[in-house]
Amino acid sequence: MHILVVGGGMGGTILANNLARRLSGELEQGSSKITMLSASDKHMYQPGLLYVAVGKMSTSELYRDQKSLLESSIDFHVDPVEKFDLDNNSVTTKSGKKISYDILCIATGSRGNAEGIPGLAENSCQFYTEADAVAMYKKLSKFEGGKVVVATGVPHKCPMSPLEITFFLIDYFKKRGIWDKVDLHYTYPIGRVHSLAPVAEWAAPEFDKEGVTYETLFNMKEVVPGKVISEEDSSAEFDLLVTVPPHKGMQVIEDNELGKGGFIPTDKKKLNMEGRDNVFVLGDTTNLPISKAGSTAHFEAEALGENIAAIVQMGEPVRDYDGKVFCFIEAGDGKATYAMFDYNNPPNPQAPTSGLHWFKTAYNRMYWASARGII
Amino acid sequence: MSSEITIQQQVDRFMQGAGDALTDDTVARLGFMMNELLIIADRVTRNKNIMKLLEMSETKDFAKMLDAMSVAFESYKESPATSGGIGGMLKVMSDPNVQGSLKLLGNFSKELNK
Repeated sequence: MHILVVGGGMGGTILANNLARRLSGELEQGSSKITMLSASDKHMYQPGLLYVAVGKMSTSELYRDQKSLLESSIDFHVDPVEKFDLDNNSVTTKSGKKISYDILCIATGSRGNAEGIPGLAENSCQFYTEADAVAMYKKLSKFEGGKVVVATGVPHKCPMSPLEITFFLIDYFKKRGIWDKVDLHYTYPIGRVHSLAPVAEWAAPEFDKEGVTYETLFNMKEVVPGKVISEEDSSAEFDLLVTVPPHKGMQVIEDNELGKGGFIPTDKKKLNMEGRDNVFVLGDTTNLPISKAGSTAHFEAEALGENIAAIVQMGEPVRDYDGKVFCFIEAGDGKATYAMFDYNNPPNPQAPTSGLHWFKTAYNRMYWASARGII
Repeated sequence: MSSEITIQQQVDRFMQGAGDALTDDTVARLGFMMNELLIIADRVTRNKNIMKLLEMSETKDFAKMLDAMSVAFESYKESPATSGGIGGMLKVMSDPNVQGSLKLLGNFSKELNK
């Protein structure tokens, strides 16, 4: 049985390692094989970019060699897929190799799409690539006060990032002693300050406490120098615009017409691509209406690992993905809280504590053990 | 201030003190160390060869081998320099212990070449 994992991000890596552990006997005997195809030989801890943008982490801490994170039994190649031929169970890579599979797992991720909103890329700071996060930090370090606007596009990666960057900005300006010279204005696309109602109920009073103003039902339409204009015909003037850009799936998914906007239609419980029993999707690549977050990919990978191993060993999957997501929320002032939820249970964030901030700080360095499938 | 404090208060004070003493950097370093230890522990415990080596290290033969190495090094350091030549070699080879050791090395080579 040949299992092909396309994508070496958080979801693909955890899944491949999980499978390698579960199928160690089959891999040793040669009755099964796991191949991973990735676009890079480096693995990035993407949640660290938020910390880089405010000077809390250096860029060198974001990377490890992909090969070092994988079980030695996984056949790893830096050779991204360009063509999917699902009817014939094969893919063609950038180097021209045609690779057949019995089970295909697609975990290609998503990317920021600032270009989708006129003027956004040129007039705002973002933190979804290393270059953007470093540029944002450089801009922040030269900022001496004025109106700062936080604006969010939809859909976007990491549901907590608009809140976290706002709390981090407060911290950053306080530490530099210029908080009294800053007017921080938060905008959000729907009718409350966060998509999850309990999180919004927790966050709004926190904003009030810090004097952060906010405006909801604000969907960015266009950005011109000094002003962001919404679809709802309102606008916000700024000296510094920090944005969480809208995201879309990867180009290869769009080019192969696997899903609208690069997001593949996926069964919410079995995580198979709709209409395909041997094609599975995880992480940001799914079109599931749940958080596009690392923890989503992590929990999906665990469910999928168990199911694919069961398919190899028994011919049938054994469990459903329950929609579990666990997101830390950095709340500034050395404190954090978290939101945990699934398909049936909403989150219930509690008051932030120092202990949870340290947990998150430690987890930022322990991610690599997580990627290896240990924790 | 009362000199008697409850266990709970002691725990609370300890936690407060530990919390105040910690910095983000300290926690990050501890997290990094824990990460590396977990990865090493995972590799070691799932590596059959290392586990076999650990098992071997608990046997009497293994202890004897370490003792023998230690004694051999000591005696090598203390013995006078050999004069060399065929005569010297024959003298060493005529020692039954040396012959036994060569037999052991021979068996080891034979196994490696199988």
